[in-house]
Amino acid sequence: MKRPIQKMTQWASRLYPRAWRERYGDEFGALLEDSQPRLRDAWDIAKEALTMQLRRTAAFAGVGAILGALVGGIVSRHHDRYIASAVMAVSVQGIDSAAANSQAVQSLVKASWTRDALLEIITSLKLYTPDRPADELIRRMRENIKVALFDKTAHSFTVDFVGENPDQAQEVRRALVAHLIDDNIRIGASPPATIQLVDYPPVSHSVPRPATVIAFWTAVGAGVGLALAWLRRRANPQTA
Amino acid sequence: MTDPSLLVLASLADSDKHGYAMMEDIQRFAGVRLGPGTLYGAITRLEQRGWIAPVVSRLASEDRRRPYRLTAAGRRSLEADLARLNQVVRTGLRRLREA
Repeated sequence: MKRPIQKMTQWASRLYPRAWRERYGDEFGALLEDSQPRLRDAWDIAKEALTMQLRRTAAFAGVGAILGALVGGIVSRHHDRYIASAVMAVSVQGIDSAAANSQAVQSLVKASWTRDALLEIITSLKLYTPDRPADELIRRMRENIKVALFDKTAHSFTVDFVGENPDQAQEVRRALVAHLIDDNIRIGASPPATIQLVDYPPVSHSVPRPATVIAFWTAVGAGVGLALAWLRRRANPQTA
Repeated sequence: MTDPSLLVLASLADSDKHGYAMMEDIQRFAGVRLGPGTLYGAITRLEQRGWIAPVVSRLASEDRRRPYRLTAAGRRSLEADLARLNQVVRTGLRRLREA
């Protein structure tokens, strides 16, 4: 009949990594039989075994986190973006409704920022990599433009452009706004709508910020490291 | 002096020993009882560093107790550690006398 303390030390011994148990298990068992273990020995064994387990897992997570941080650094450098916004006012003659204002803005945007108009901005401001197909450049530019109604009555709206540097973003913002104002007069929608520039807020750093990107990729790397440690154990129980 | 690795190296300095013999020996010469987990944690690290090695014998398959021996690298490391400790002890004692 085994004493409760012996049972506890044997249970604690099972916490060691499997490879360790296969290498040292027999002699460790002999030591436990010889040394008449005490209660605190069970804690001593469990502590050492868990430290050994964590060290392996932590090593995987640590390497993953470092690689993730490097990836995050590269990604954040390539995805450093700036938002240039314009606040604009809209009013449709004789109609004071959010739906009418919204419709007027949508129609104007569609009529003004045509394929040719955007291509002209891309060419004149040397946006993106010039050797890419025109359709790809336009698609990319459209992804970087955002128009949002500003309040419930839709009396104002914002035009955002996300660019790779603050100066470029400002230039494009100016060009987009100029197109909207000029084309509104040129096209002459019915009923007539008035479009005005209200404000150019300062250019802001795009979200997510580099630190956020790096933190995100570090966490992803650590997570991948943990998953690999787990998969390695499943695939090869000798290392568990 | 309670560093388990140093105690294990010191225990193996005069003869090969298995785990339980090391535990008893360390308790005798250092007054420290190393828990089984701590002792084997130190043995594992020392073997990985090549400072101790299991003794290969024909009886090994019959006896679960596996003796360990100090390697040449382990001896050099122990000598260096003891020299440093000796320097600390001599300095400490001298300063206590002078104080």
